[in-house]
Amino acid sequence: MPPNTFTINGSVREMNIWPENTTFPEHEGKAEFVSYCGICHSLKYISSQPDFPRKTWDAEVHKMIAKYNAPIDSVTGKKIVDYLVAIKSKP
Amino acid sequence: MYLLTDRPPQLETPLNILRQDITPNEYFFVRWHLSQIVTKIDIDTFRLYINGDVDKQLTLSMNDLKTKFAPDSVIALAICSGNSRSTFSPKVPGSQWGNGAMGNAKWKGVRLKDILAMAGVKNGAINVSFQGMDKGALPGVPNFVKSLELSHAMDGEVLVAYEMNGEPIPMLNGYPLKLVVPGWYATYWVGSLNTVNVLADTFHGFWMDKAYQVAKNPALNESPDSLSKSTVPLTNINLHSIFVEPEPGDTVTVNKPRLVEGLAFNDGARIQKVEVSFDNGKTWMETKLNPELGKYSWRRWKCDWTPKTAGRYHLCVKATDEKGRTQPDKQWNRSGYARDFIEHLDVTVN
Repeated sequence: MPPNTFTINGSVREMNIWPENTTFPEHEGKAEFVSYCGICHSLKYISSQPDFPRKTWDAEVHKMIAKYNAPIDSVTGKKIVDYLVAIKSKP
Repeated sequence: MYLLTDRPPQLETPLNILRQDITPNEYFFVRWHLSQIVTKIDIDTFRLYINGDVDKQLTLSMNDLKTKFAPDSVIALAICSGNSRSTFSPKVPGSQWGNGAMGNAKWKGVRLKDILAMAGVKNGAINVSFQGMDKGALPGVPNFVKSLELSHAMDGEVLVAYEMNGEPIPMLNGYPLKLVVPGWYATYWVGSLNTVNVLADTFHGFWMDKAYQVAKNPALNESPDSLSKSTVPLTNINLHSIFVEPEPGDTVTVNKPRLVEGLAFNDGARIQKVEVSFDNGKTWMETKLNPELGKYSWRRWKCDWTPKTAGRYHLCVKATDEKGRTQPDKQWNRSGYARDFIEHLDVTVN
């Protein structure tokens, strides 16, 4: 069970969320993937996915940019998709 | 619990916990959309804001909610729109839930109808939107805001809950207030709720218009090669049934009675029957239903099974409700929402 603590001090409640420690294989594009994808959510969001074809990863990264306003330009976006395909793709 | 993701957190309830009629708070599934969730709050300074097309804008403290309104309770199933997503084939991107993104709880709070009556809804208001205190990491990330038709908001069943199973709502599940929309998927059950806006126009926002869309047909169905061009927001809980006993991979002893148990649920219509098959759907037998806990609670079903020969068995379960609805053999949609295709379970008997 991940470590987290809950405290109640009078009327104040506080919670400490567990630290992240997902590791990823070395491959071209890893730096872009880690720094950009990790802005809005932990990288476990990706490691918990099954393998997908390039088409699906392309659509997901595009969704992050178009719908969630991820600050990723097209060059970086392609690097990230290439990385995802390298580590988690199926034909 | 199973940690699907950590920031924002998503935790899944183990299947054996679903053998309890009421899901304990410490095992209740967790799902947030935005990474900056509430991690520290002073309840004395917390306020619920009622704004918009009302005679009197309200600022309500927790004490106001507990003393100025008659409390109401409901036992209602909370189920993630994407519960069981990992069972869709072909697989789809998204939180890879098994069957554990669901829980049955007794929710206590104030009827939204009563809060809106105190504010006085103006003529011409048609929608109500709901926002919590969670935020995205960047300003461009869409705020998590959901909306309901005014008539739904005023139906007397939608609750602003401040208690879950007799305790304040856990912080991971939306302390201090959670919107409870019985019979609808939990995407509408806004956590850490603090803003209610009454609107004269239809609400438009990412989490209502772009996210949580399903194919516009009664079965909410589509195929990977032929995605539906029209979509509508996902709303009512689909009729579905699952096994909670035995679990996948369990071994059963030949010639000994074995309890087979599960749950059936939908958007509030009475479950009429639940049938189980031990031969991959060739023949079906009716199971025994537990008494109802409430129209929005899940319904537990049970039967005893004494397999006469060893081997691999392929069990299935399907529910029928009083509206004549039953379950399809197959179902797929691009987002893995609203699973309702018949559940299968492989069991080895020796």
